[in-house]
Amino acid sequence: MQIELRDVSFSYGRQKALDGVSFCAEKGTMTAVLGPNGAGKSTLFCCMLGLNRDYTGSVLLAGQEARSIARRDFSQLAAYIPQSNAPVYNYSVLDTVLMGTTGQLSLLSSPKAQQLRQAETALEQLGICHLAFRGLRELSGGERQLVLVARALVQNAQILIMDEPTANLDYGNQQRVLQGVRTLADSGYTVLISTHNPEHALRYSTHVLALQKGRRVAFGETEGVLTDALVSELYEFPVTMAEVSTASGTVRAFVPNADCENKGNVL
Amino acid sequence: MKLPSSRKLNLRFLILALLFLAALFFSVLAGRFSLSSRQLFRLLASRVFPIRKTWSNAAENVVFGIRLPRVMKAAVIGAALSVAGVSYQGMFRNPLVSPDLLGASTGAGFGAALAILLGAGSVMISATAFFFGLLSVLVAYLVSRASRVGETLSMILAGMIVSALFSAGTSYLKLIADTERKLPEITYWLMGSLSSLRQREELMFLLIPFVLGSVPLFVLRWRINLLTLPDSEAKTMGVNTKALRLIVVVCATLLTSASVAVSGLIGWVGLVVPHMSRMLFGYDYRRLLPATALFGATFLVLVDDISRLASTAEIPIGILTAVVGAPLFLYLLVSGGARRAD
Repeated sequence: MQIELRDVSFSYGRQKALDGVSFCAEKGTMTAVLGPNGAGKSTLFCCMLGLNRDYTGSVLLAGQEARSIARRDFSQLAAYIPQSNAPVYNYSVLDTVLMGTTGQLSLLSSPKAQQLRQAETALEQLGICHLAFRGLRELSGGERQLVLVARALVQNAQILIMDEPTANLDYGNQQRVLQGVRTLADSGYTVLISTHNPEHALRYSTHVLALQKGRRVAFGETEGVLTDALVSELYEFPVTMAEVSTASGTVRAFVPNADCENKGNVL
Repeated sequence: MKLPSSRKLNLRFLILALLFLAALFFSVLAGRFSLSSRQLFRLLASRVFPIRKTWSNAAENVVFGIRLPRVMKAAVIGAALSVAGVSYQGMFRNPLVSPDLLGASTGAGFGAALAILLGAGSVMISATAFFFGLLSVLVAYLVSRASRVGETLSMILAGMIVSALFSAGTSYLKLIADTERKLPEITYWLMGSLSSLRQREELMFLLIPFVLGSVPLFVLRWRINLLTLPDSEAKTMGVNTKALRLIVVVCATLLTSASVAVSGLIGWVGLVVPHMSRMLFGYDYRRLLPATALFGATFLVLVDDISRLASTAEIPIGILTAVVGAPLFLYLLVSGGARRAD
């Protein structure tokens, strides 16, 4: 299922947060949304998730206009995977994943055997079955993030929208979560993911959307679009793309050109 | 730590239910008019089965006219306040919230004080208290709608504002009340008590709002789980958070206002009972909500026994719930139980 934005703008009062953004994410792709703080990434996601409904332009999920889709139907089209913050209440992993099935249920019913099976399948798919009866608070950040991914999978939505899912994770967990997400995209999900780390985009995403001050700066396949020139421009800090040979072949990475600007003491 | 299995939880629920029935039986049995448990058993069974009468009219009167209605009233109020509390704690994503957060209790207290001052009878006092409880939450809700800060935060602030105004109003009514008769009556009413000359009528008065308030919460209890998540997450999972929150507020307000209207202010129950049930039954409202109702009912029935039986003059139950509830809460906090349960 694809998600397409046509000339989308959104303002908070007088301040324009998105300014005429257009792009299209196809089925089976993983699009990384890059941009400095305040570039409009979160606002963009809120528009795509139907949380901001007074945008101008159009957001199309499988051809339907986002703002006119009822919440319940929306939950079956697109799922949201937030950052894994510590929850207020220590729900079990299984209960948390079951919450994702709420959109399939009628107003007065609660999850039944069928939903339970779905939850078990999702936990299995992500390899965290052994955590099912653990409390969410007792998990590591990485495990908790996988639980939130499982919760999104049981929604049966084909579009997954992730807002900086690696923000609170250590280095190893970042790679594991992103690897898992890429596998989902390869299996047919449409994935959009915002990140502060251009290397994540370089390594895992198929496409890149670059935003700056609410405007689209670049969009296209990662290979052609994500260059050191773009990253330098986007973050206003010069970087160089380097190729490093590793055990599993050549890997590209961005290296900051240190001291280039910071001749004086910035602090 | 592995969470208890659902089989274990079912067993706990069964034990709680038996405990509740035992508490009911004991409470109807205990009192100055002495009854044997055999007598009481036959008396209760006689309502269902044809049993030859071996008891006095006085015994029948005490049981069905006074004690049973009072005990049932305690059970209903305990359940109502606890269910309102546990629902609010979920909705406001805060385990330290109590059911009077939006001003239902202070509003009802003001209404009762006003009615007493105007010389109303006990029926009018309850009705006025109930009305003002609903009114204060309505005002708080409308104020919060007009505000620009986030939805739950604005509700909490609006509740504080309305509570402050109504408690100032109550203070003023006490100031101008006749110190010989009206002032003591207001003061005593505000302390909370389940004693009454019209136990059966009050029980009936209570049952309607109790059913209206608790049934919707009960059938929607799975969804209350999702209100504990940030709004953006609940919405994207297909929940109409605004409507659901409104339903929770209306139901909790009905429960709280009706309880306060017949019993006066009974604090701590709506705060402490949900905590203890969360420790025993976990966080899922499918189990937590019914368990909390049963727990709250048992708790208040037992505390009311102390209120009736501890001394010759009745101790206002509002004082006792604080005396029992506060140290219990402290214990949970110190023992680390509250951390597990919050």
